[in-house]
Amino acid sequence: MIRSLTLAAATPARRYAGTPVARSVPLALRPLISAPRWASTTPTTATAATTTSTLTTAATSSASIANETTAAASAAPSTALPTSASTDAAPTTPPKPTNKLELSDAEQAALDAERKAATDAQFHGSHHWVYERALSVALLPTIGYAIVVGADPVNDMILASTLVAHMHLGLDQVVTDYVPVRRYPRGGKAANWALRGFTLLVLYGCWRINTQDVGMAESFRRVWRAREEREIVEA
Amino acid sequence: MLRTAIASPLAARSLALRSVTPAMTVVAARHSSSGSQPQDTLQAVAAVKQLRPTSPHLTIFARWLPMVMSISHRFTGGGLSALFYGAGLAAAAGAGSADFVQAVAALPAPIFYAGKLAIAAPFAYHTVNGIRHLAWDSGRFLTLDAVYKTGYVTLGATASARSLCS
Repeated sequence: MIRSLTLAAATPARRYAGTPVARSVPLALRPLISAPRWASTTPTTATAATTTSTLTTAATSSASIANETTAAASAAPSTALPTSASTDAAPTTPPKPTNKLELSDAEQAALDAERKAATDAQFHGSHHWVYERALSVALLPTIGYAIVVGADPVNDMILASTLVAHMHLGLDQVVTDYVPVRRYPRGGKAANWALRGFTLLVLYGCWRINTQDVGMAESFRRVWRAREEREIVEA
Repeated sequence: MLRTAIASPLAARSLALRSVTPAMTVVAARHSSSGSQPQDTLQAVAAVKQLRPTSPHLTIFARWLPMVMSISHRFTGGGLSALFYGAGLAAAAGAGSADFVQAVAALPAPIFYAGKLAIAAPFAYHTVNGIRHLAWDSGRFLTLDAVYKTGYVTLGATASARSLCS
């Protein structure tokens, strides 16, 4: 389920049919993809590529495929050009396509920078969302174990960290919704920092209970059964 | 009738500035007791605007169950977190498990059992509704029919939370 959650969060947005190819390609790779139909300045190269592709099927490149579709869309008028243009352009066949992109250093650096910027942005956006859901899923077996089995040093530590993290994220959302920083600059900032301070104190309290006392699960069980156990003691 | 409370004067001023017609300034200036400064007029306009009745919004929504369950999810989560944070702060201040047990055992019986129910029911609600949220996040049960059916499952689990209390 985590994998499907991650996949659901990581699938790119669907491209509408009207979007030109160049729009869905990252900035650093655009020079290598052929320009869209409206950007082509020489109609003869379009027809030359079309005629060469019909003549030599082996010489098709990605550029000519795009030009094929654009030429096919505007079929009759452009093919009416004289064939003298095609014979002039016939010797210069487009290069064979390879699966490896030969990028220059500058292009590779630009691609890496863009990927890093997208990844950094994702950590505050979609990655945070996935981690929050993963934390909620991890909370279920931890609480189940604490209820069914009870005291356990490892599980108490896992319980403390996951439960307090889950609560902090939830309360952070509440603070963000009801005390937004844009509307209450000082109040929002104070609420956020107060929440972080409280979370740290609660984490310390849980750690204290887990290390110097009986542990979170056992202490909760004792509080839950306080009256029953007191009656047993008094009886 | 619900009235939106404007907490900060800055927000009140911006609300007044956003859509002020000339007629409103005339009416406000006529009603304002203090001088005819632009600032007083704007505040008078804001005051006049706040006296107007608001259209019914939350109470007339036809499909109210998903909305109520959503806010209850937040409410139960926030309430349980507040209780846990209180206990956590007490533990950080030096209270041990024995102190908690002593304080709770000293409560009178009705309050003790009502308190246990008041913790078990929100916990069951928040947990089962949380699983429902995770199912939505994975793309399941997103039709209106499924939303209502899983909502009833959550309410059933909350009603049977009394079994957690024993």
